[in-house]
Amino acid sequence: MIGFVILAIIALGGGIGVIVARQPVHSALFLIMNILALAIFYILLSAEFLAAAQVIVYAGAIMVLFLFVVTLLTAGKDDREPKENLAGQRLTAGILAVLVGGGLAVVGVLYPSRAIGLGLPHNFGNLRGMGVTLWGPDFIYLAAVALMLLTAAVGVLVLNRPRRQVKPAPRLEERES
Amino acid sequence: MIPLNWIVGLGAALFAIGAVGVMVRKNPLIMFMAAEMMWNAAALVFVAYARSFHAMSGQVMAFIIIGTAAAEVGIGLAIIVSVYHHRHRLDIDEVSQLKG
Amino acid sequence: MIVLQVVLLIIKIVLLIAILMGGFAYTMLLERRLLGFFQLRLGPNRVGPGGLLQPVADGLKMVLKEDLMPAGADPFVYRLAPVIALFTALCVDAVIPFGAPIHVFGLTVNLDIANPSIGLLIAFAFSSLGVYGLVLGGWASQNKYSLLGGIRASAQIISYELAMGLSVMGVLMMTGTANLEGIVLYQKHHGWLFFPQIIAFIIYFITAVAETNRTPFDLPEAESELVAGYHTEYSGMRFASYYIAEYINMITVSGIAVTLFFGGWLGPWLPPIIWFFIKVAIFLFIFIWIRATLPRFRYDRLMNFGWKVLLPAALIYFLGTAAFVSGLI
Repeated sequence: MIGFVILAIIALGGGIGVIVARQPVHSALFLIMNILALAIFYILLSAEFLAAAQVIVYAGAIMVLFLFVVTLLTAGKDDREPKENLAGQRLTAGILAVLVGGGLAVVGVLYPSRAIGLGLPHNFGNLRGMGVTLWGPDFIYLAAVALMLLTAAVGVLVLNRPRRQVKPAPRLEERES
Repeated sequence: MIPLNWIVGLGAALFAIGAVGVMVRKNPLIMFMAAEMMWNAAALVFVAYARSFHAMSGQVMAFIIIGTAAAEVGIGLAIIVSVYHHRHRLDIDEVSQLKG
Repeated sequence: MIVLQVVLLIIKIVLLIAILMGGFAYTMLLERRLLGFFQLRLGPNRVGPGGLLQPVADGLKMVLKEDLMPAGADPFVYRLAPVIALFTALCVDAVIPFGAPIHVFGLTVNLDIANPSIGLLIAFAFSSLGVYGLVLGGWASQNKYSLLGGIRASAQIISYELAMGLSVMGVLMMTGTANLEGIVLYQKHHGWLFFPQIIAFIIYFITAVAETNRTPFDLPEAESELVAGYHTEYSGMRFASYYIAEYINMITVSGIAVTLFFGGWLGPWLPPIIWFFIKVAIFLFIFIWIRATLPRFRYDRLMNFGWKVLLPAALIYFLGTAAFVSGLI
């Protein structure tokens, strides 16, 4: 239970950090903290393959890609966000999120749920169990993920294909002046 | 042993934080990260229920979420970079008209 | 009994860190001496007999250096980055078995910190986190050379990690386990996996050189174009952390290669742990040899090589192994 509380605090702190950090790099760091906390949750929930996949894919590839783009795009500038006029949206968003999230959380906590049972099936959540499930009854999902990744790879190649030299659109400041 | 409903509560809280992030930030990169957090919250709840019901299908769902996130981040970051090449600003309002 | 286990674990962790730090110090000395011989000069031989105390002198120098931080740097990330690099480098070694289990005072002691059933995946998980040290260090320094080094490091490591992961999957399929001790025991009965998996091993070794940022893949710290790359602004112990992390990563990838392809601790006559260290030492020698021999890649060629040569080759060999294991051919 103490472990749960500590991990939950780390996960929630990371989550709040993502949305309040001024710099995108700090946001990315907070998100990595959140992801690693969830990976430890997965181990506690006896999903060891998913924990490894979470760290390798999420923390090791996706977030590195994020950091790559963040450092590439925000290099050498003071990347404060422009003054924005969405105060009303912020307030609404806050109230709505607290209502929905708080409501869901209260329902989730109070709802009389099954205790997490002991005595797991053989190979539950390990490499072999995951493989047997993915290549057996749930093969359709594996195929779907594979197809989706392939589509994404093609999509990225199409998006970034070398194109004819076009004149870059004038910057906003120049347009306004 | 961790009670299941506390994990579901944590998942709901993380999801709400992510939703707030998408709504209040204007930097597309941070909005994207907040969306990733919402995915992750859902995956956590899936894994918790998989543990509770002794069903591997829940873990398969979390596996799909990880795969989807990888595909989505690849595409999304490519779009952000190409928008940045045209506009030279990281502001989601730059693409409000959805034309090059 | 549980107290004994905990004490044993702490002893093992302290020993492992001591071994790795000693390994780092003497790999560095070995590298400097060997580079000297390769270039027909002597290398450092003044401190102690044959230069054996040179690492002590280097360490003292590093500790006494002033710790600098650039004015525009992001203080927290700047301090955090070298810690990440060193921490992840040390963590990977926790799952590598250094020798056969030994029996002392009626206890069976495994010569690794942990022996999880997904040991290989855990090793990959930690080593994939190591790149954060480089990227964050490059970003936090607020220096264009550091930043370029960090960006290069992230692109290079993401690209080569794919081929690396695919190259070891063949081993996983042949042994049917991701437990590193299980992989070694499989080779006890079936011979070294190097022979059936030779192309996978070559791909693994190339990507391992790239993952540790060694010549000819040391683009992130290319000294002729980027000053020193991601650690340009670092000094003193923070610089030393990066340096130690690089050498420990070298030892780690050598250890994983030995475990996966060369039978780990197995060998006749000598005690298992000695065999393990001999094999790792041969790998370290090859690393240094490559550094002394090959010039650096150009960046676009590096990317082309990774995506258009290594990845397809690893994929084809992976499919071939799958067909072989499942009995199709």
